[in-house]
Amino acid sequence: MFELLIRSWPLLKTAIGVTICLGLGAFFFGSILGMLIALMRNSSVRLLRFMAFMYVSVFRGTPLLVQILLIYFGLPNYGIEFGPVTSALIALSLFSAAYLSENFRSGINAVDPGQWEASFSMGMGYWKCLQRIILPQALRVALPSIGGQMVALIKDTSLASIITVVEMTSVAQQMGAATFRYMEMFLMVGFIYWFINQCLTLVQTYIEGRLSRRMS
Amino acid sequence: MSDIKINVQGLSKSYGQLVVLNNIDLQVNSGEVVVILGPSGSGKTTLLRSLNFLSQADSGVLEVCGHRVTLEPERALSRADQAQIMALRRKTAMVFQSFNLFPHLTVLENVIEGLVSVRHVPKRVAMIRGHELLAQVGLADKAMSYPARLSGGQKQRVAIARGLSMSPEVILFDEPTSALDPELRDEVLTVMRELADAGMTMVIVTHEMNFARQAADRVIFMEGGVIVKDASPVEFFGVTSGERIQQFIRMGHVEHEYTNT
Repeated sequence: MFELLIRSWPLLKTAIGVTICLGLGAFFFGSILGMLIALMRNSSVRLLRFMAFMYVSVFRGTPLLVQILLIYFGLPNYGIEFGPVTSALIALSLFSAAYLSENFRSGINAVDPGQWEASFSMGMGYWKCLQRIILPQALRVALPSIGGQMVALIKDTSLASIITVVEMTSVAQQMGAATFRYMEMFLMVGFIYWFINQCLTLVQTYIEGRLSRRMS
Repeated sequence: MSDIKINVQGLSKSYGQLVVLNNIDLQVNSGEVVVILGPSGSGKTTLLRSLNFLSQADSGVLEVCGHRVTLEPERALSRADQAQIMALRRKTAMVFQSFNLFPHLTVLENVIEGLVSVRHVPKRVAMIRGHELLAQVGLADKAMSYPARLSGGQKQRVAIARGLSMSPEVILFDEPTSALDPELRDEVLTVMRELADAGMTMVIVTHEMNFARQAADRVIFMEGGVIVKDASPVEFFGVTSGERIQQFIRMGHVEHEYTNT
């Protein structure tokens, strides 16, 4: 097993990087888009609310694999071509934005409306109140589910192997095919996924502890 | 600068069939302490909240600290109106029944939040002011605590200091002692009385009869969305105020004694 690890390490090393970058990259872009969608869903403008609702409904209601294939194989029909890694990043970002927006929204809605009122009553505007008063509290509430979303995202990057992205799962397949030691290869890769996610969970628990210590 | 801080004319608001404010007129002069009494559902809190537009009335004219907004049914607020509202909110402060302190900020940070994020005062300067205000409400030693560590009375005093930080021309109090245990009410009422003595313009929705009797310049009694009585405390609590108000005062008195035991 150890010797197999050494043999596959050169490939695996970059693949781990690709998996982490895809996961964290999609988390980053998905968070920005997700926040926007969460705010749209709470908007007083009916059209914005409807658009955000449809977005979440569509991206949560269809398989991620179909979304990936649509972007990689479907869009070129209309002259829009992305490389495999870019396609995967776009699909994962759009997909996670739908889930993250719901996490953000429930966090924002969990904040006492009195917090908005106190801010408004001192002449604070919507964005300033959101940034300084509401979001720090909302994110604290939403942190466990946001962390869960991040873990899910790391695992979902394995679907990118379908469109020839050389991430961990596709390396396991390649090395398995070359050595016929599939069992060990997939166990090894599975362990690495678990290890990455365990690290992320530890970070999340640490932040959670820091945030909640003083507030209650 | 005019002497009238608040001038409300023909203010009305209804939720569907239910009329909460029915053609209200109200003037509050600079330095006046006005206490609004009334049974629950009388519209007193809605009136107070419509002064700084946390609730928006349907129609009427409001002029608060020199900023005028005319409300008409079926007409959305214009940009100019919004600007007037932002401006008048900066000149008024509100103290809430449920305190509404920011739980993720320390007591000191709560007090200076408006100075820093609305007035753009440098944080160091704001902190000096913040410490002064906390001393004024008797909480100098709590500056670094988080609100969760404070008693209700302490929270409300922090909320008052937070309101004062913006140097408001008017402070609106929405049942400031209603969420407090009886033994914690006095510390808040004492701070409010000091403010009244210092000449602050205050509009107070409350059930505290004794405070109204002793600290108010005017007592307003509301019922069914209209101002039934607008009188000096002496007249209001005297025998000439009318049967309904006498009855209300007796009820309030009984209620007050009940909660004290």
